[in-house]
Amino acid sequence: MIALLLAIVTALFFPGIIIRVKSLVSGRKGPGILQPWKNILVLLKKSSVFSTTTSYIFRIAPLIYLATLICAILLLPFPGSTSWFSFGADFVLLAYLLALGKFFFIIGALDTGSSFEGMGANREALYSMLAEPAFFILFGTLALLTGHLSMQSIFGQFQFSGYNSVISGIIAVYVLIQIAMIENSRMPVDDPKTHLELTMIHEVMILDNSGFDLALIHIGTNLKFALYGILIANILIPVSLSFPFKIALFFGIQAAFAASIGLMESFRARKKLMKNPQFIVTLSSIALVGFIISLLMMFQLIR
Amino acid sequence: MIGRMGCVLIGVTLLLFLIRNWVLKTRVVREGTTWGCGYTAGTARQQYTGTSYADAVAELAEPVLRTLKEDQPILEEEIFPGERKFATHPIDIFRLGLNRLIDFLMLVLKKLARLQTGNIQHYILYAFIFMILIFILLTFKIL
Repeated sequence: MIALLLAIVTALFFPGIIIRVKSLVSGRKGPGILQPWKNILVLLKKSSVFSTTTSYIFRIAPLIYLATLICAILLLPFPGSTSWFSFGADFVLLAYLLALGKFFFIIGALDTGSSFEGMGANREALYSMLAEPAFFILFGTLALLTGHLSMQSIFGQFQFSGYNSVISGIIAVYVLIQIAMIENSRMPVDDPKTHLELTMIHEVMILDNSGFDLALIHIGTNLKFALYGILIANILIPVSLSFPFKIALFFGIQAAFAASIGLMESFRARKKLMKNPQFIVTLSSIALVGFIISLLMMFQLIR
Repeated sequence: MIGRMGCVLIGVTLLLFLIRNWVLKTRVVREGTTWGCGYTAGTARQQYTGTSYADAVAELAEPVLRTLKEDQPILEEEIFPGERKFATHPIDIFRLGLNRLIDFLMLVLKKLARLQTGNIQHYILYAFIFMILIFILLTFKIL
């Protein structure tokens, strides 16, 4: 439950920090940290417009998208404390809860009958499909290193110290940051600032959402960043620290994660659409290299 | 545990549904056309098809699918292009492989079919050659 509370607090500041960092890097003062949430509040107060082509699928999709994210966060532990739900191989449920949300998000976009949204749905589905092996290989590596299968035990046992764990930890953090960028449709696979439907991915899928539903989707996107932030924090924060210090370190990691996204988006160009699949598959290769290194070291095949 | 999580998921969805219904009760909910970037005359025929949706994956699986495109290119002198048809067909490569094997077997069998002349003398000759062959093999203890 503590993970959900921390995720909500993180989600409040996360998008604001990204925007502020991007503004400062480009020489502007930028809006306040809470500006994205003020925009969401405006959306929550607005009336809704639905396309006549859409059915009930379109109306329930944002609800299920947000609900799956909340449930996925309930599975996450906070370093040293228990998660609300924990069982062997619960990371599979985490991945497929996110996939369920995405599935409804995709069919919701296809339900509008718009070719633009179909294009976005097609790309989003492909990128998620390609990112999935990297996620599972990563958790496979962590499970191998710790000898446990549930996230609570994996992160409870994983210590970011020692030659092997540090290498695996760095690879895990890098892969998780990149998966977070892909899953949230950020640079280099997508640009949230783009205004051309033909090159959009995530933004084009929500063109027909308005008012309350659009606000739910934005809340979901912010929570998704927080979800990956918690996973990264679980890898980096030592379990043995005192609780207040862990909380401080947690928010420090979240701020650093958000700032790194802001910096990456400021200095990195978006990739050509055709090159995205190759980039995402490379993540799986990196995760696989991490897995093999761990395997070799675990069985002391190399010293 | 998964069942319990399923119940939680349904519960959270229902809660969000009730909140949304309660909020939208006080709002004006309107209906309009789908966003078309200025083009509002879209019909069901212009919808994104299943093939289009799967296009990106199909491109990655091209070595297996080997999609055939039936296309008539628009020529330069055609200022007002006429009616055209466009179709794509993925090939089943396993059927293709099987067809190749059957073609090879058919070729071999066709060559062997030359032996079937319908002439009784030829058949006696085959029996004679076969017996000679057995005789040679037994003599040199090959069998």
